[in-house]
Amino acid sequence: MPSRDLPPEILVMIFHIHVFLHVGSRHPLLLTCKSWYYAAVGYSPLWSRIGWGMSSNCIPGIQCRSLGDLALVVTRAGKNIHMALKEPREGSIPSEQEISSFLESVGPNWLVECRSLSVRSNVGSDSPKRILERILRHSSFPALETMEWDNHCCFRITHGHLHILYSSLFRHITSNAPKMRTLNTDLELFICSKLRSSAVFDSISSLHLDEGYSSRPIPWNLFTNLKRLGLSTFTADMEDELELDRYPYFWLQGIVAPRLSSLFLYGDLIDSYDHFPPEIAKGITHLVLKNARGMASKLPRELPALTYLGIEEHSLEPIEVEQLDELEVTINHRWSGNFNFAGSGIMPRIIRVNVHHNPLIDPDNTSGGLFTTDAVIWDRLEELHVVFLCLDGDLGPVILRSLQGDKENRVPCFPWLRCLTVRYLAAQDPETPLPTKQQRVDQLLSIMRNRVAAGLPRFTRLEVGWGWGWDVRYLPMPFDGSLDERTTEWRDCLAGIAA
Amino acid sequence: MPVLLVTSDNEQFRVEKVVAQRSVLIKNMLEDVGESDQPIPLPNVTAPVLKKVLEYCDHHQTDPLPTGDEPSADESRKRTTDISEWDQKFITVDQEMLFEIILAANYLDIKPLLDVGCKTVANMIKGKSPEEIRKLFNIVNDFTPEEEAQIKKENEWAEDR
Repeated sequence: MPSRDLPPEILVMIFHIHVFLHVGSRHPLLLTCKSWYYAAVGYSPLWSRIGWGMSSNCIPGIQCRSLGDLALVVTRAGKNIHMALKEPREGSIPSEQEISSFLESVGPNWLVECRSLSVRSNVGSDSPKRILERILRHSSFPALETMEWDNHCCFRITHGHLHILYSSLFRHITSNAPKMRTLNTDLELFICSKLRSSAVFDSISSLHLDEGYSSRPIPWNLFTNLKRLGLSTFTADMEDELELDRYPYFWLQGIVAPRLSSLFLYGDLIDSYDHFPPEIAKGITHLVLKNARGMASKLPRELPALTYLGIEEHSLEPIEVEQLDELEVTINHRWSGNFNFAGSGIMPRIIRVNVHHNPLIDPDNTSGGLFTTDAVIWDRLEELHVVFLCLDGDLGPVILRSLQGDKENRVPCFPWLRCLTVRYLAAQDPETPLPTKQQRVDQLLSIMRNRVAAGLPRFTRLEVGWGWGWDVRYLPMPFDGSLDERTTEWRDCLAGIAA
Repeated sequence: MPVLLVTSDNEQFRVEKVVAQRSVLIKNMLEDVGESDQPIPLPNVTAPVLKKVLEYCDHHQTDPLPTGDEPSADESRKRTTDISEWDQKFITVDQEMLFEIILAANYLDIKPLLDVGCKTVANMIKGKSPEEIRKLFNIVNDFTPEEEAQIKKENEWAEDR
């Protein structure tokens, strides 16, 4: 029986696995035979993530090169559309005929089924043709739940007239999106748009504001339902310090947000002008600090509700976080020391370590690698999840010794550890001489056997995975700080192993 | 209490209820008729295929049944894992049997088995061109050259590869 005789409902299950789990191309599904073609074009989830004008590694999904392509894919996408649009640059601007043909094909209200919209305006263009404005202006957005609007930051200050143009469009979309709950944008656009409708603010429960060039305070009092807040800006070494001095920022000044539970801070947001308001510290359950080197001294000494802490390039001062259950540490390329865990007093049950650079957990690292510490943070550890974001990532001798002991009669650490997962970066080049997948599985099984031999219980979960790191298959870290694992291949090392 | 199943080619299989109930179709039938020793006809499944399917059901008889609810984050993650070693050996059959098992799993509503079958076919098409897929599954290219050219032209978009 040739597979073309499989009914369409089964074919699309296979296509779903092929496209979303194997990250395979849609093209062979369209070109094998007619029954495959009709099954594929009729299965809307294959077409629901769409980009136009974006570079190929910006979003996962279909990347349309022309408005004609976009119209075709939109007609296949059905409901639950996730759209990413970028204002085209000179040289790739569609003709008048293409624009008219596109709007004729999809209709002016073409984003009525759009669930999430990502817009990249191109403020840097000298002669914008307002293409986005023209194709978005007449649509309403009754299904829109999430909007992300990214301006080209470098031209922010010098192109005020373009900001006026985009802020009008921004206002149109947000005012016509009654279901919008999540908004990610930059502060300047947000303020320029002069949103008046309180209904827009009332519905937003998740807000991420980018950049700190504005000297105007955020109208926190308008956000009555805010539960998740992200704020990010450049750090001084990435931007002209004089420029930053001209625009002092007051991010958290006046914040009310009585329902706020998750806070994501990227960059040195709190300077001498600002502080971490104790009112919000009381209710925070999730806190993520990325590249926030100056934040340590600004954190309140008590975060009584905190259950999740994510830190990157950060020295942790002693804080009282009795409820902390989960700690996520990201060791990036600029991190150069220990996390001062010894004095932190935190004892998470789950620790996640994301490693960009392997040497920092190497035993030869005299500055004190993460696993050289004997701090109390490891005492209550039940789950350890290690993610390598570099090709040469490997479990080094120190962590191996900590996990399984050694021949010098050092016993394994972490007596309560029951769950261990390690995710590697998948090799792009099949010729790259990395250990085989089976060798990775065997390594983790060897760790477990050594622990059992030392009298510790066996793991209840032991898995090794291969993710796609920073290349096009990588789905960026979502707002909650967790790694999106949809494109990770996982292998259960305990499968087939007798208990 | 054993259950009597009758295949399309009139062969009878007496199996434990707990094994037969891995099939949601059979489970619902049993619930509808109550305690009965009436044979259950399975007109869409032949004996060799049912034998294989029952082998799967017997091995997985103690697995938790799918709830039909939205999968948890952990379950979603599990979906991306490889096929387990036992399942991989089980599904190593000729192509005709593979597709018969998939069709039977679909008819009998055995989602985990259907999942294994679909993953196996997806593994087979991974990285292959349309021509290689046609050859692999003995599929006739029923596009005219003009149609094929048109589809190629219409779908020139780049992908997330």
